Amino acid sequence: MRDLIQKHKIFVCAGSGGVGKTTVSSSIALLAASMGKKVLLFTIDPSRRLATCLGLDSWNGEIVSVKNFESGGVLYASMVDHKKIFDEFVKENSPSKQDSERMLKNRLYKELSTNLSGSQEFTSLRSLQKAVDSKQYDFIVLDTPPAQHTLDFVKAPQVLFNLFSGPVVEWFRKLTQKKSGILSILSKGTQAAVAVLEKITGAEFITELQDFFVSVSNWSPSIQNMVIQAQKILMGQDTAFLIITNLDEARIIEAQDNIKDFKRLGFSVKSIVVNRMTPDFELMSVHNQQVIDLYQNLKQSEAEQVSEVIKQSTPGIQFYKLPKILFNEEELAGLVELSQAFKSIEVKQ
Amino acid sequence: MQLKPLIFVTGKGGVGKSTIAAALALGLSQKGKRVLLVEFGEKSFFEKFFQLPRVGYKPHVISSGLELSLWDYISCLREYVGFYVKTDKVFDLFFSNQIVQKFIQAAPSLKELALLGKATSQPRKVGPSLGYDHIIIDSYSTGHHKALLKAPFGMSEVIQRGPMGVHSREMIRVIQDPTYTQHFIVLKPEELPVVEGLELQSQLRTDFLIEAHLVCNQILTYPKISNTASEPVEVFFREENELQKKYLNLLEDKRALTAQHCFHKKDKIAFLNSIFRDLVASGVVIP
Repeated sequence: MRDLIQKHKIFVCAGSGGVGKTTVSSSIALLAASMGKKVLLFTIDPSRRLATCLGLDSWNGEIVSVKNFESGGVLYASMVDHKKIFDEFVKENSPSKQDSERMLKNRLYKELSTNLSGSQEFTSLRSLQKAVDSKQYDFIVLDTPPAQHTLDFVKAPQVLFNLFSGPVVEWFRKLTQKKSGILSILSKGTQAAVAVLEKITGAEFITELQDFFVSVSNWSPSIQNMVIQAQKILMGQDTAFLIITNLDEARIIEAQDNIKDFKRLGFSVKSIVVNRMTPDFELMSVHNQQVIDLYQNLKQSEAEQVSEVIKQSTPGIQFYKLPKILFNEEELAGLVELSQAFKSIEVKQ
Repeated sequence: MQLKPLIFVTGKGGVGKSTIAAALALGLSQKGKRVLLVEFGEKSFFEKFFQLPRVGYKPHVISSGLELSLWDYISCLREYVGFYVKTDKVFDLFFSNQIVQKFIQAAPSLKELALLGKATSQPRKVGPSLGYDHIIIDSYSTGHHKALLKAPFGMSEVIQRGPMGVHSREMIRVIQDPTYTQHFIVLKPEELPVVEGLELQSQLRTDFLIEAHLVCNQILTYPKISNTASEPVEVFFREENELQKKYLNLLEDKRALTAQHCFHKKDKIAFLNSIFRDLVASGVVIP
């Protein structure tokens, strides 16, 4: 893991929910800091205890200094405040105060802005971009938002780009003009499409949407620009994607698929971290046969699953396992212990 | 508990939500019911799980009485639009329009409404009768499942009139109807799944007037270990057992139903059957 950290400047920790992604991201950040780096960790929605441990429990929106190491390394941590960043973006990029207020008051924006496909990914990427631009850190670890699919995170920029790109906004602007009687502006195909859209959704829905998109048109150039910049960072050589998983069949199949899909989209997955493995124990002086049986059952079941994973994986991917360590998450010491426990797994090349 | 025609299964990632959904579907089909197991998205998990050829929108027969379908929102939307637009030419014009495509991809709540629309199409009498005794939906994990259910509520609030408003209100009626729809939240005895599961249960109750049932999965049977045992492996299991008890206690009096932990098994059908037996034994299902 140290080697992987040395070779990169940004880690994006992907993986589906419930695998301990935030805990693993935090321990990787701690490991990097212990190596003497100035590290910034972005967590997303950490558990209360983990937040306490990182000093983010009564978070005021500022970057928090978590721990200094003798090596000179420092760990800083921050969360991503979606609503605030989104609203901030609207304010910064609207031509006037009236425009931004109009947007912030739009019923669709209010009802759906935090729910809009890709909005959480958008705010995470914006936070990452700001941190990179600040040039304050040697190493940045980004925990990704919980997603239906891990891939949503890298697809989000494209989806948002499409939504806010010229043609869609232009289309709705023309629709507004159509209301004032200039029908000929719309092509035949578009007219038919509008008719269908109205039929299945109703005129009121269309009106709300129009209002939303016309407001959006004010800041679509900035959003496009931001999306392009973020894409550059994610695809850059300094960035590595890590997939965090645990030994659950659904998660593993997903992790395998994700590697292929990430590759196809041009992102580089360097490693899979299998979290919460049963730790290794000596059985020499254990006399309780039931304990031995349970331990061996667990170990064997895990070993079978790991070998299946490795068998199907793409060459060149580094596997790490992280044992299930019972520790009080409120205390940083436990997390520091975990950060030293990454073990590389033998992989057939 | 008697199972209803429409069953949503959700839970935090990694708790075995898909396993519970599949075990229910397989078990019910073996009791002579016609069952459709549904997953959301573009990629099928069960395809690999059951080692099937490519699974898509069109139901695929897994075994007698059990079919599997992968619902992607585009197919659901096409079916819905097809219900309104009878002319093929207009239909094609609509879906081939590039702006419509981009819009559909990113429009707020449209995905969720398309999927929920399909799930509730039969009782709302839009679309063809699907002809199953049970539709079991292996839904999104907790956060996204909540967003899925929230979509018609948000939409019906913003849009009062027109088909969008009417359909949203009808969807709400179906998902709230306890004689037609059941909601299961799967958890396992660990902190985050339990906390998130309980939180979702109370949110569904207060925000959506939906009463969801908890199912606790992956309960591990630990051996008796004396308090003086000091071998590291014994200490580890003892502490794990204490934690498990603590989280199970949080579920007390909340009618959580349980399924035991099964070690990784290559024989999927046997694995699902043993989970189903646990579900029957704990009262989730009345055979």
